[in-house]
Amino acid sequence: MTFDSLSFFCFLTLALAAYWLIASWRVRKVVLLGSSYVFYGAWNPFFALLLVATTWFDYFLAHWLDAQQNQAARKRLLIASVVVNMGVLAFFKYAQFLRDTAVDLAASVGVRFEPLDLGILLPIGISFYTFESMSYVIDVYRRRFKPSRSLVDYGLFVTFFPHLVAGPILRYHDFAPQCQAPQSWTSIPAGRALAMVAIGLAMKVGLADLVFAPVADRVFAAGARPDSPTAWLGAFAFSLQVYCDFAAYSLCAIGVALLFGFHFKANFESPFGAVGMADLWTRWHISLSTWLRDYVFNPLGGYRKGRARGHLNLLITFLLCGLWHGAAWTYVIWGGLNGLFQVIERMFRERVWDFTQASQAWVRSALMLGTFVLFTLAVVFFRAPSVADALRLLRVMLLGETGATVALFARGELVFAATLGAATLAAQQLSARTRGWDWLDRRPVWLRTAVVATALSVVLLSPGFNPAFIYFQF
Amino acid sequence: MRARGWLTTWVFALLIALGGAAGLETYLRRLDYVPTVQDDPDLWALAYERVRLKPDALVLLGASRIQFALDPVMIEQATGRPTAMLAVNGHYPLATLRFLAEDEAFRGLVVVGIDSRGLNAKHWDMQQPWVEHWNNRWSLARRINRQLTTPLQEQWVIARSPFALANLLRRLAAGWGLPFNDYVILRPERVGYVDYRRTDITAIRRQRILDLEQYYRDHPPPPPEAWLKVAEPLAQWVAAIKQRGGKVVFFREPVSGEHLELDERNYPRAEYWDVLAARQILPMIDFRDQPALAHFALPDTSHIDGIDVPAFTQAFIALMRGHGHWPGAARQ
Repeated sequence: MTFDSLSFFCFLTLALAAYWLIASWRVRKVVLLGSSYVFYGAWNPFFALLLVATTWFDYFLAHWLDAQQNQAARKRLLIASVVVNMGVLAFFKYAQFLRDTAVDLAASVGVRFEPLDLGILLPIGISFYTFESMSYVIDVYRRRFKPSRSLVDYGLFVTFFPHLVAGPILRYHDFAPQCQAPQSWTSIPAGRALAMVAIGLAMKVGLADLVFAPVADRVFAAGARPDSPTAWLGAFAFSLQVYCDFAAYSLCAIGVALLFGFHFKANFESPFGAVGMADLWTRWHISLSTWLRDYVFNPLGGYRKGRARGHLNLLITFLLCGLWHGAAWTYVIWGGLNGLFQVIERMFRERVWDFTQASQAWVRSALMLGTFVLFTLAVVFFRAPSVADALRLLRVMLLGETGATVALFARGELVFAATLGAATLAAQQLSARTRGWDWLDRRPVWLRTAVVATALSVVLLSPGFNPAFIYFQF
Repeated sequence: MRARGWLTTWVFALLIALGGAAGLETYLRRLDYVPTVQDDPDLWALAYERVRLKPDALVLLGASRIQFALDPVMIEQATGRPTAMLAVNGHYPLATLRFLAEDEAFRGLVVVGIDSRGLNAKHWDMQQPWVEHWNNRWSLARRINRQLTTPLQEQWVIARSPFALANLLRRLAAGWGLPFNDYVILRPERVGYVDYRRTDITAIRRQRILDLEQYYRDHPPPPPEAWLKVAEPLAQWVAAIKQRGGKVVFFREPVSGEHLELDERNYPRAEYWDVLAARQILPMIDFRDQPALAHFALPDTSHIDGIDVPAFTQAFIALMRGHGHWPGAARQ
């Protein structure tokens, strides 16, 4: 069930009604947990069972781990949890990738064979809920908090439907306190929450699906031969598409959770208003970048063991970030490039110029655009079907190589997409220092009405075959 | 105070958005646009899901000539068999036939609308995306969503994707004007009713023949012996369905005029179709042998007028009964 579907609209209406009509807090949570399983099971009931199994396994293992005083035994239990969680993830997500890689490697030394078709279907959201479960067990191991005493509360942490399939990736210590006491429905900022959902949906169904995706799709299509400016435009369009798609999902998730009285942290904070790639990664998919910082980069030693080791740790972290996104070399290279850009940027800032301190508006604006261009260069690998395709497009973009024979777009189409793209970037730059969505409450009614009416109009007038959110595949 | 401010915001925002939508709908209706269901793989999957487990199911495969000619609701009423339209406009159906042969749960009767081009191996996978949608993406959530969307599309022009606000603005920016005013009205059961009064039939007919000539230039027919190799896998698929108690009937749908002449010139009947029919491994009905179908006009040389769909469907039912393909047809 996707947020931009009528089935979700009906589901949400029923779930909200049931939730707020029930007086008992405990029963409310059970209803919410049941609704979350319905939400997930409506896509694939079998994988809902997998979700139940994962939840139970980590819940009981965390208790067992907490009760152990022997450090070696605790470590063994932690390893068991990581192995099982990563094993399930690896089976569903990486088995095909490993098989294909083995076939390619064998072919490179002249051995050719036809492997079994594994026919594995990827459970939606498995990367997200696996990371949440793992962070919970690791934090219990680190004795950051006691394990949950309620299976319902823990189940809700993993399964609560707004964040279940595409994040934000929650942390138990943020979520657990919210399970302690109910909120009254009168204390919920419902107007703002609904506005966030409407704006998120408009970004997805309007900007991502109907403005930027058609441009990116044609440039990245098999056999497309764009000229250099068109290739750049297609790559920029995909950067904006993936932002408007994923940030929209996060915004909807935060808004929907708020309707139930739960607060999620922001997952995107004007990433294209960032100055430098390091800054961008504090604004882009924040719940993942902080997860990687806390459970990969810092345990590797961060920058505590010297600069060179720190750079290596950063690269490893981002290579894993790429692999988390998808089981393909294109994603690994995308992650590697993002790591590499940050390493180079760090060295540049230390030795040449710390541009993040620039104060002149036009300089910062130029730096923001430069950051967007770097992000776009890397994202070519994220979108292209293969490494060879990505390199071919990059050659066209950077070296002006072109085999263009026919124009891919009418001029008016390009003007339309470019105008909305520029507007999106300008909005990001102007709101670079703004955090959260509380500012909506402080705006005059006429302005809010204009924003919400525009969003609603785009949503109402964007019917059709809803493509899934891009991050569902991860 | 804050809550009241938001209430005002939402009331006005809803009024503006709904007013805007109603205004656009009114404007489009004045321009003679009419609501029609938008076809997609979900609607296809929904149709198949309804009949899949029923032993007396009847599924109609093919491309537009079947989808715009046979009404599954009428067939269901006349024969008592749960009927699904699985034909896909512009896509030959052999991938779906292969899928039905592989689906152990399916035990029904299959009518395959096909022509010589459709049997060419290069077109076998045209409907594979629909099959993959069923296998990998079809879900309860999609079913509910599709069931909620269809009634809206039956009532509102703006409920179809060509009329999405961003699409309209992009078209206007590109100087393309409003979307094509479709002359096929699709019903929820996926049967299309062609309304030639809503279009320039002469231009459409001319374009169709030009397209067909271009097709034959781009895709010259394979030699008969290569083309006839299709018989082997087809026979296997038919046998698989038959083994489970089902049945498959191939139906060569009517075409006329220059269209028929081009087909005959490129795939001479005596060298292709008749040789395949003579092998008697595939039950076949050819429109060229059926006088009952001869009087239906094909304004664009390939599709009947929507007005004729009921009569054509009745004639087809009679034809199938006459050939003994529907032994249980009398149940009503």
